[in-house]
Amino acid sequence: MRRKLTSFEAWGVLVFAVLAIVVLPFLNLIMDASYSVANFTDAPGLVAKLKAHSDPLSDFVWQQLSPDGQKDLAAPETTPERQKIILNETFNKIILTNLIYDDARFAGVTLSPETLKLKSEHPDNENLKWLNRLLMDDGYAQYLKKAHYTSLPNFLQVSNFSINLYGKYLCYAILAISVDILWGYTGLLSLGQCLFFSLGGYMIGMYLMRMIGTLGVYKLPIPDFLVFLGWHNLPDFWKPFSSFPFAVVMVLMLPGLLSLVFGFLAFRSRIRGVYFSILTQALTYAAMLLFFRNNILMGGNNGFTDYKFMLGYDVRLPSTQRGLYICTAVTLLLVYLLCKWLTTTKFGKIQRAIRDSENRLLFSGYATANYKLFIFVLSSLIAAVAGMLYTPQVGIINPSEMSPAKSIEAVVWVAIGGRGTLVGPVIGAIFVNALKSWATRAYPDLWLIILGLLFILVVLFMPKGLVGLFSQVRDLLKKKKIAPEPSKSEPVAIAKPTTTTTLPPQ
Amino acid sequence: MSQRPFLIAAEGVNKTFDGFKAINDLNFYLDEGELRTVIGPNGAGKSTFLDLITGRTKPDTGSIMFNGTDELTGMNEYQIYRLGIGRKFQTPTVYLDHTVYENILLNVEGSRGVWNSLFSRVTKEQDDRIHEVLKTIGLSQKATDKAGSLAHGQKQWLEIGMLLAQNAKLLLVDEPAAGMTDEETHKTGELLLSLAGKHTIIVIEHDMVFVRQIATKVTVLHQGHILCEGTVDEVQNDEKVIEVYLGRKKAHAHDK
Repeated sequence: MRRKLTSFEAWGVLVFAVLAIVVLPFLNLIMDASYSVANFTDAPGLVAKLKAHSDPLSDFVWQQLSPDGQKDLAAPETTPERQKIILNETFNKIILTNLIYDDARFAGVTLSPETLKLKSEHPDNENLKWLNRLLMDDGYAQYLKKAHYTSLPNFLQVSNFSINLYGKYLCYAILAISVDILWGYTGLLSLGQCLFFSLGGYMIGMYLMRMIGTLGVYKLPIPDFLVFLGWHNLPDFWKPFSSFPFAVVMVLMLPGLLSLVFGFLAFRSRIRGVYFSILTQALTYAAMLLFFRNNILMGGNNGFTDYKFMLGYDVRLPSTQRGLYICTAVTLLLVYLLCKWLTTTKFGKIQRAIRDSENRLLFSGYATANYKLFIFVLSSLIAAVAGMLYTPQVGIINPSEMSPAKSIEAVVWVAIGGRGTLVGPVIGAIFVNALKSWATRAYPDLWLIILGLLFILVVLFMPKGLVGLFSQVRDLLKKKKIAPEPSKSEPVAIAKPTTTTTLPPQ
Repeated sequence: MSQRPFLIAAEGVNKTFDGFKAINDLNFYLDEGELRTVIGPNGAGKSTFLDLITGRTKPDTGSIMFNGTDELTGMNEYQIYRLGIGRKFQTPTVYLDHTVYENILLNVEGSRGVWNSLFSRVTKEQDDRIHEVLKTIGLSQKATDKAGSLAHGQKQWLEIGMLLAQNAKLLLVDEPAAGMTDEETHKTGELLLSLAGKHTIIVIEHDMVFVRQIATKVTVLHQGHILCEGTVDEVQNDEKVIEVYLGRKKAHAHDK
C-alpha cells in the first residue's frame, strides 16, 4: 500500500511536470508573435523597399535600425542570410515596444480583417505584440510569410522573463538531483558539486565566447578579455572550442575526468563521512581560486559573458531562450528517468546499502569503492550538463559559481525538498529559488536568515522534507484515528499491529 | 597419504593497538567441516581474531593461511569474502531500509561487479536459492517486510541467512545469541548445528548454555593467546581456565 501510494505520487508529479514545464512553454513558443529568420521569404526585396523609404512605414522602420544596421543592410556585399538576421532582430524589436499603429503611418496599407478585428479589441501585453506583428505583416505582405493570430488564455501565458527564470530553476533542479543521488541515496555528502556544474558551464562558455566572433567590444576575432590581456592570436587550447560538438564533449570530459581521478584517490583511501565533505569543499575552493587568476586565460574574475550566438541562434532572443528552456525541461525529465531507473536496479539497492551499512557490504564481497566511484562520476556528469544548460540562459559564468557556499546551497535545496527521493530535490530547488527570487526583492537583507530558518525548521520538524509532508500528515491522521481505541481493548493487543505497520524512526 | 591442509592455519599472529596487545603469539588451526566455539573473557581478543581473518585489521606479524593456499593477511575484506569466508557481526548488521528478500539478494552467489549490478536481473536459480535460505532461517513470511521492522533475534537469523546465501565455506559467527530469549537461543543453536558439516563454522559466544548445546570443540582465548582447547567438559574442568575465566572468585578464596 505504502509503495503504491508513493509511486502514484511520483507519477502524478511527473505528469504535472511534463505539462507545466514542457507543453506549456512549447505552446507559448509556437503561439509567440516573434519573427523568426524563416519568415523573411524575400529579404533582398524587403531591404530594397526599406532603403528607398518611399512610404511612411518604411521610413519609420528604417529609423528603428541602428546606424551599423543601416550601413550593413545598405552594403551591396551583404548576403541575404545576413540581411535576414538583421531584419529579424529589427522587426522583433519593433513589435515588442509600443503600438506601432497611427493613421498617417499606415495610410497606404490595406489592413486584413484579422488585423482589424484584433485592433478593435484594445489589446494589451502579449496581444499588443500580436497586433504589431499583424500590422507589420500587412505592411510588407509580399516580402513576408504572414502569421496567423493564435492566443492562449491569459493565465496560461508565460512572459519571457519568467521563462528565463524557470529555465534557471530547472537547471538547479538537475543539479539538486545530482547532489541527491550522492547524498540521499549513497550517503556521500559532496559539498563541491557546483564545481562540476561550473566546469560544464565554462566549457560551453568557451564555445559561446568563440561564437561572438567579431561582434565584441574590440571588434577582433578573439574574445574581448584576451584582447584586454594583450593577446593578438587565439591561444591553442581555445581553438577547438569553435566546434559545438567538441565543446559538448568537453562539458562531459573535464568534469568526468576530474571526478574520476579525485573519486579514485578518495575512495581508495577510504575517505568517508565528514572528511569526504571537507575534501570536496576544498577542491571546489581551490578551483575557484585557480579560475580567479587571469593567466590561465579563462576570463579571470569576470568569467565569460556577453554571448551572442549558439548553433546559429541568437541567444538574446526570447525564442532562443524558450528553446533552451525546453531543452532544460527535457533534460531534467531524462535525468529523472535515468535516476529512477537506477534506483530499481541492483545497483540502486547497493547504493542504499552503502549509505546504511558500508561495512556489511565490504564483508559481502562488494568493492564498495568502485560503486562509489561510479555514482560520483555519474553525478558529476549530471551536474556538468546542468551547468551547460545554465550558462547560455543566465548569460554569464564566473568563478563565484564555484564558491563552496553555492554547493552548500544546493545541499540545502535537497534537504528542504526531501533527500532520498527524486521528486524532493526538484521541488526543493524550485521552491527555494522561487522563494529566493521573491525574498531578495521584497526583503533583500533578510534572505539568508529566511533560508537558515527554513533549513532549521525542515531539519527539526520535517525530516523527510517537503515531499515527506504528505505522508507525515497522513500518519498523523492515522494515529489520531487509532488513538481512541486503546480505551476499548487492551493496550498490548493494539501495540502489535501498529508496530508492524509503521516504520521505526530512522 | 598426504594430509589435507587446515582450512585456517594461523601461526605466530600478533596485533597491538596503541600498546595494548590484543593478539599475542596466537596459533590456531581449524579443520574443514568443524564447528568450533571460541570463548574467553572480555578483551580476550575474540572479535579482533575475526577481524584479522576477515581483513578488517592487519596483523603486525604472523600469517593466516586459508585452505593451505591463500595468505589472508595481504588481502582486503571483499577479496577474502570472495574466497568463501562469511562473517556475522556481533551486533546484527543488516540493511534496515531494505526488505528481508533484498538483504539476502545482496548476498546471494553471483557477480559483485558494478556493470553486472546495473544490467543483471535476478535469475530463477538465485530466486530459488533466496527462498530456500529464507525457509532455513524461518523468515519466509517476512520476505517483503523491511529488515528494520524485524525483532532482534530475527535480525540475527537474517544475518546468518546472508552468509548461507553466498554458500560460504567458512562462517564466522560473532555472538549469535546475544540479546536473544532462551527459546530463540535454542533455535539458533539448532540452526548452527544443522549447518555444521556442510560449512565450517567458528562461533564466538559468552552464553555457556548455548556453548554446551552446540560445541564439539572449544577454544579458550585469554589475553590474545590460546589458553586451552578441548570439549566443553574438559575446558570447564581445566585449572587454568577456572583460574582466569570461570573461577576468579575461587582463586580469591584460595588466597584467603
